[in-house]
Amino acid sequence: MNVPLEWLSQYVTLPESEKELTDKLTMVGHMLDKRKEVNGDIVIDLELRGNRADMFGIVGVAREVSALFKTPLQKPSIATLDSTGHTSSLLAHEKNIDSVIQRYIAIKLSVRVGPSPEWLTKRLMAYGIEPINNVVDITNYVMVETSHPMHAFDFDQIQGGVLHLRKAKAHETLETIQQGTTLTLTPEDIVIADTKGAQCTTSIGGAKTKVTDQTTTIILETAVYDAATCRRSARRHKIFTESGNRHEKHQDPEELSWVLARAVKLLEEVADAKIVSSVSDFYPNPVTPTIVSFSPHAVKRLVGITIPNAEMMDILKQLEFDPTSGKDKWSIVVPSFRTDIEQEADIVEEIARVYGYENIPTKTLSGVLPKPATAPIVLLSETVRDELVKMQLNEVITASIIENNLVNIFGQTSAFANPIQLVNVPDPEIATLRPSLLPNLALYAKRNLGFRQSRIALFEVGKTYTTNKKIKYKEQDSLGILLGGTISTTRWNKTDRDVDFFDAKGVTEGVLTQLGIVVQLKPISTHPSLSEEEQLSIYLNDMLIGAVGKIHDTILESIGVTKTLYAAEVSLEALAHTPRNTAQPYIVAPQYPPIIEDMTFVVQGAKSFGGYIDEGKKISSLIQSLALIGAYENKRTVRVTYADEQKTLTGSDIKPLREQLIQLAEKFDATLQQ
Amino acid sequence: MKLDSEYMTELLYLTDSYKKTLTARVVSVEKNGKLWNIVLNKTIFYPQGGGQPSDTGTIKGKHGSATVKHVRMQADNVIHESTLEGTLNEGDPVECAIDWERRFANMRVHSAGHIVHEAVMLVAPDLKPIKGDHGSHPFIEYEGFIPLDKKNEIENKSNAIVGQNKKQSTEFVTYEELVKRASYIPEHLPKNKPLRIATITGFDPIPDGGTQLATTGEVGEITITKIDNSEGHVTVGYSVATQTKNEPVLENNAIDATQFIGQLLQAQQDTIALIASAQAPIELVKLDALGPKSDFGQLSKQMKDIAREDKQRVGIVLNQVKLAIEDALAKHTPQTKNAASQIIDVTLPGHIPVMGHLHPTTIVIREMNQIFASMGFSIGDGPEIETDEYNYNRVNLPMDHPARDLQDSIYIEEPNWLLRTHTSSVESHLLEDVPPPFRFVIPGKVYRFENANATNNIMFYQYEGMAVGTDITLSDLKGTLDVFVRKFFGETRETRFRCKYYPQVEPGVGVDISCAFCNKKGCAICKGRGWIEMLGAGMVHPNMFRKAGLDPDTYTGFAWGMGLDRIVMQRYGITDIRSLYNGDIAYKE
Repeated sequence: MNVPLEWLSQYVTLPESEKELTDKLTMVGHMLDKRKEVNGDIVIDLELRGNRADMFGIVGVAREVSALFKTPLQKPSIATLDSTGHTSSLLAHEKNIDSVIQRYIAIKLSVRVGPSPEWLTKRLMAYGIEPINNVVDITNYVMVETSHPMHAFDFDQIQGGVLHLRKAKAHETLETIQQGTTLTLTPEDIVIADTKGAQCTTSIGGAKTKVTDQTTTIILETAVYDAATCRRSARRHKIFTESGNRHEKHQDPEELSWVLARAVKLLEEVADAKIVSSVSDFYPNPVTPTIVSFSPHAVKRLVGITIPNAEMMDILKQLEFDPTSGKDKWSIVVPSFRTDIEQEADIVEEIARVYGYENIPTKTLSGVLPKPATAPIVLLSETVRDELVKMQLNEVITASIIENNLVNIFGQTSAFANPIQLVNVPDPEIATLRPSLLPNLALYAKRNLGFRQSRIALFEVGKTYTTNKKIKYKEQDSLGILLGGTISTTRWNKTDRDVDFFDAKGVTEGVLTQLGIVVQLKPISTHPSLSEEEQLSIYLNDMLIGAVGKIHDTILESIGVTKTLYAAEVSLEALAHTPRNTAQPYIVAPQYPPIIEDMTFVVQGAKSFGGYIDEGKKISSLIQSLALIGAYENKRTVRVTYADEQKTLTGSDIKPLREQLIQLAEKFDATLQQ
Repeated sequence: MKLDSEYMTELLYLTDSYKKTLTARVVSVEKNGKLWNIVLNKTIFYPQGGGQPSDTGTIKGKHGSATVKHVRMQADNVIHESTLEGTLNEGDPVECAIDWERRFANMRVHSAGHIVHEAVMLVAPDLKPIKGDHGSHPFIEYEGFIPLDKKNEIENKSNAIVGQNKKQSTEFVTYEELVKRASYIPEHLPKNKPLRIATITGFDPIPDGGTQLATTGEVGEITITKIDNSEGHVTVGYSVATQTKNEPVLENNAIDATQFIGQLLQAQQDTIALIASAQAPIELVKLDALGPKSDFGQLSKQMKDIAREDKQRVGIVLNQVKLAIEDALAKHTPQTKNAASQIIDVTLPGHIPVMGHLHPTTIVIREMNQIFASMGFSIGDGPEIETDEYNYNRVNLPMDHPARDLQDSIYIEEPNWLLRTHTSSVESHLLEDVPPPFRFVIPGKVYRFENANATNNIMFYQYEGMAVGTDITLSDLKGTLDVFVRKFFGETRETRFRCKYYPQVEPGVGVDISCAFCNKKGCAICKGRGWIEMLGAGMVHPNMFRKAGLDPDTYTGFAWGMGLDRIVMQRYGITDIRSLYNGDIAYKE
């Protein structure tokens, strides 16, 4: 809020140094945002706390300054008004309106409308409000002064002479004082109406009853409404005004008589105002003072320092609290304008901020060190990232919300049947929570290929989202891998080759092996984004947890990628709670020399020789390794390493093993090439 | 071969092709396998070349006699490859005699070639001569095309020139003159020495280095044996009639096997010497040694002319020679120049291994996690799809709380299901699920209704933290976050803790860090404040404890939150938040 210092100085003596003032205000919760000068006046723009309605008035700021610098507050002078009553000829209200109108107070005045005196226009302009005429200017002036919005109606334009407090009727309209703006109201809006219809809302007044040069009699009012109702109304109609903004705060209804009396006083001075009626006051449920039970020890407990009771007492009194010390607890009466104070912790903050946060010592956490409790999925995800970076992949993070049509492009079957749609997003075409990581990864690859990056090796660890009747909304941590382009070893002198299926399979197997998780890769097609032929599904104890393979050509065509891309997608959630073995990439160098031999098999038709490697290793512990070293057409060459930790093997030791290996090959429709 | 550059044999056959004998002086005699290489100060022996076979004959001196088997040009010297009986010494005067019948036959074939060429040019003037061979199967090759039915016309015109018995003469000219006068200019003619042209009267001169008859009549009847058009080239084959008074000119076995073997062995020796002294890259050396233009290559081509009964033994030698040359090539080690090329240029860039990289956001999160881990914090995790209860109500933002307006939610189902608008929702879960004491950091994605631009995105990251126990105070908050700021942003950065309102905390704290650009003086970066707002923090609000079923009189705690993306962007010089997540970041290889 803009605070012209000349205006502020009307109510409190300011410290000599402007910086001292703004530094202190900043430290206690009202940060100096900007400083400017308007017509020679210094204006400080404070970033106010949303829960301090009182600070939206200059008097509120002055009260804070008074407490901080221990100088007296000079409240502005007020007129003497008739004693207020609950009923009046000026107001009528519909039933139950007290749920949204806390207090509405009004008085009828005769006025002489004309231009405002210079001191008034100067202060308003320093704050940032354009002067209109003396009556309107005073309502604005008092609003900025006290934080309470005011309104003046031209009494002669009010049909029936009585203000009706009610909810708007559906489709009721109001032509506002903002030229050309007519609101179509809803039954949630609060209106002030005459017999013809709505003449004012909580955020803006109506054009018909506004004060003009011809106005001679006004009804002057100020009110406290339900803040949430005002806020919703302002957003619904997109009307954002100084008064509307203040109505959205939790204002103090107790202050309204004082506010009205202040405005009358000023109107008497600048508009020859004469009181024509008694005050009409709709205040069905007067607030009672908040009393907080406060333990002085709470300051030590929450802040960590001991402040002498007397000092705390002083601070509270400066802030206009009324504390009474008791045996263990103090009873503190909260001033009505401090609508933000509800409980002990709030009192602690009041004491601490005036005492000065800068005076609170810094120390580091002590006491019992909590047990390490990092979520298993976090630990797993971090390991996955490390392993894939080791394998020269680059991590990416992509948007969780994707274009709706990507679901159709990437998934034709049930895995993608129930993506989650968002109801309010800036772009309704981009309104789907991703059911898979692959669409974004493929698009990422496309962009990277566009930069002429030859090597596309990406992974993402992130959530995918689906919905079904049983679990409502499901999100699961997933791993997506995407490979494409060429693989090269070094920057120059390099030998490149195109990425292929076995790179994707190898990376996927590699990361799972490094995690110490044993899975089964089966030549079954389960992932709708991957080619049916070049795909392996990944199973963990018979549970499907992912797939690896070539991205469908039709998908690539749809998104405009000309290079072949390979991808894998694995649920990390399934893995996070699986017992993991220690990854074993190490062996102790054998003491006795191994026997190494190569065998070439000829396979018939079926493409499943991979299982031979797995099973062959299990034949004997003497088979230290069994590795595929060549695959050409229907020939598969394996290299067998036999070794024993106890002795040097002989031909007769390995002969039966070799025979078993040859025999095992038959199971895979493979025969030893003679 | 020491005389290569010092000596030049005078070539008498060029000026008088009818000279059959000559007295000359021996310049050098060197043993060459079974043969001797004899160089004379002048010679009448025609060395093989220009399509004409070499002469044979005898060289007789005082103490020995040589039978010349083959003659070739080496540099500017003529080498007479000969068998030798007795000795010939440097400086010896010798008597030379060529085998005239062989020479004359060769001259007839050679001159016939010129006549056929003139006849061809009369019939097809646009053809471009490529080469001629005037050996046992003489032909002339052209670039172009001759219709087969022109064969008789060419033959008739050739024999007409023979019948006219035209005079044929030779003379030496400069390159410039040759260009002016000759009917065509072969490529690769030396420009710096006299060149010889041959002229049949009535026709344009032709560049020629062979032996020519004095008149066309001496050629006898010419037969055009073939016209072979192939791949843009045409070969015109011809023969001359066998002369009754002489031995048959065209022998079936034009090459003597023994002589040929001698030439092969000589080629081996020469080539190995060539390899030994070669400086050129090995590929070029290989070409010089075994390529089609090399001595060996030329000789290999002649294998077809070896008599059938000799083929086997010649073939064996040919193979041995080839192996010997290949062996020499294999053993050939680059000399000084090559050695220089093996010294590596150490200023070239090193081979940095291909690396994978973490996402910038991950790197920053990890660094922060590590700092907080050292202060006993674990990493917490929670759902991104949230209910109103956990996202708002439990963090002290009940329905209608004004602060909700600052966080425009994205809904799955209004009003209860939404994407979390802050990581504080995870605090709701932690307070409910984890018995205190605990310390957690919570990095994560959050979502708000934003029209994306360079600084706002619908998805962004927050870094939240919470410590709960029975004795945690604002002092601990200050100390913990001060350590974090100094470790993360640098030891010289200062923190400022001021009162600030957040619904989740009471008392509330705004944490600023001193501006790195102006050191608290105030500049454009910090909007003149000297400080940059970095974190929101405070003591956990008693309402949050109550809503999670914890007693705020027993437990205290602090919490903080901050936006992560701005920090990541600043560190990596990224100016648009969207770049972090849309594929605009390419990783350096």
